[in-house]
Amino acid sequence: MMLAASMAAALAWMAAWSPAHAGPDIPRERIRRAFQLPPVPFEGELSFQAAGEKVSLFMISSGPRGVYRRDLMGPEGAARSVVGDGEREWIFDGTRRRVWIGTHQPAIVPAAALFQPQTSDQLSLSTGSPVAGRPSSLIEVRSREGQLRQRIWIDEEHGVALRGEAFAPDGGLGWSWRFKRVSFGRRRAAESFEFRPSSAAIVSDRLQADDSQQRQAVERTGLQPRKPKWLPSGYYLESVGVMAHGRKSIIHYRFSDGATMLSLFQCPPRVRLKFGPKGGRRLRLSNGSATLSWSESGPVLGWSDLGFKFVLVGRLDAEGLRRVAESVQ
Amino acid sequence: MACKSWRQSIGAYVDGQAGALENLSVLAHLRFCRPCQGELRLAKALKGALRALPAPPVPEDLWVGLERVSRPRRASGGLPLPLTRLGLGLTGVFAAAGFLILCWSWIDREELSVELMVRAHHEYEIGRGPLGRKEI
Repeated sequence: MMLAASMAAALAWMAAWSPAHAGPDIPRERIRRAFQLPPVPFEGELSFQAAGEKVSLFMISSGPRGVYRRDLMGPEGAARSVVGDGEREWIFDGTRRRVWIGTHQPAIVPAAALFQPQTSDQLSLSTGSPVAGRPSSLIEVRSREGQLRQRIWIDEEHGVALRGEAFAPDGGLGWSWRFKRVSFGRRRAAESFEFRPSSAAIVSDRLQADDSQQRQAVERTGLQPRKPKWLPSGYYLESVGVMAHGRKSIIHYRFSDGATMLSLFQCPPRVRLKFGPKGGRRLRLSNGSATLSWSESGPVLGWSDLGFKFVLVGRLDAEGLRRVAESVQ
Repeated sequence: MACKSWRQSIGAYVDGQAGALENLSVLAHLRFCRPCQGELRLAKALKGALRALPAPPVPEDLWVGLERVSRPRRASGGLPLPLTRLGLGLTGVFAAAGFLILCWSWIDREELSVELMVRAHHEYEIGRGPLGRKEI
């Protein structure tokens, strides 16, 4: 009787510790949830800084049913506001009275701070130092080769991301962000998450280019413009230019969310992309493969589609760049 | 008829290749001609000696060579041999031309520096200011 009980206990112990019963990947799941809006109303002040550049300050708040607001602060108050009202995302530039409409993409941080680890990345969880006076867990994300990619501090109580650091392949800090102040549970007025453009404002789709700029680009390059159909939250097409490179002309699309920039270069056919001595690593796209490299301005993604070469530069994680690249049509 | 001219007929008689009339003539001549009787004995001895020799080995590639020689002048169900050769030649020429075009188009492709694009991105980012007021 005793022997049977001991064997049953041993079997139960083995079952509990076997890999098949190890449960979900906790750090990965915590990162996935960390950038979603918390179930309680949230307010915070976030600073973002890319290496060697000025600090950008955002006032961020969220309310019920996934509404959110991010104000990029300028010298005289909010210079750029992003409002997600549950259906659409409004991007408002008060100084230029311009409004851009995009898709509702609820997230607790600006797009440049978002991060999703790659499948091959190794994650480790430990206790982190307090951020904005709140206890946190620290998740370190390393490549398969052991290279540190990201550090993310996550609030112990509500599970939201409070601080993050992105690293270049050489180990240098690419950019960092952190909440300087956060509060949970304080409900903000519903009007904060509603947006009505004034009659004087010029409203346009955030992917719509200035007609004269686009016409000029087509005339100078002879290329049919191909732009992304998806952009990260807060970004809009700011301008279109042409860059001369030897005998070739390249269309340069510039997207911005006020704090950071994203560039898409559309190259003519019959060219090769030269990535420099460091090269890059392969990244799978739905329509082929791409080369992901790193520059002083953040990650660089180069790929080929229907004989045309494209290059995307900007401070987004690999997942964000991949999604923009796959949407280019 | 001189004996010299009989020798060819004696050879045919020994080889069994002479006709019936020629055989009778040879036998009639041999009755009275001693030199030709000697010639007959010599021819028979030579033939016996040749038969006694071992058979030479058959070359291994004999059948291959024979098949090649006996192959029909047309490729199996295809074009006559000269036309097949012409087709193969043209295929080779086209393949070489295709390869050269491929090489040329690859060499002709201009190399674009990604670093220059990154620089253009960076310069625009710096020039536009923190809130992107730059217009072009």
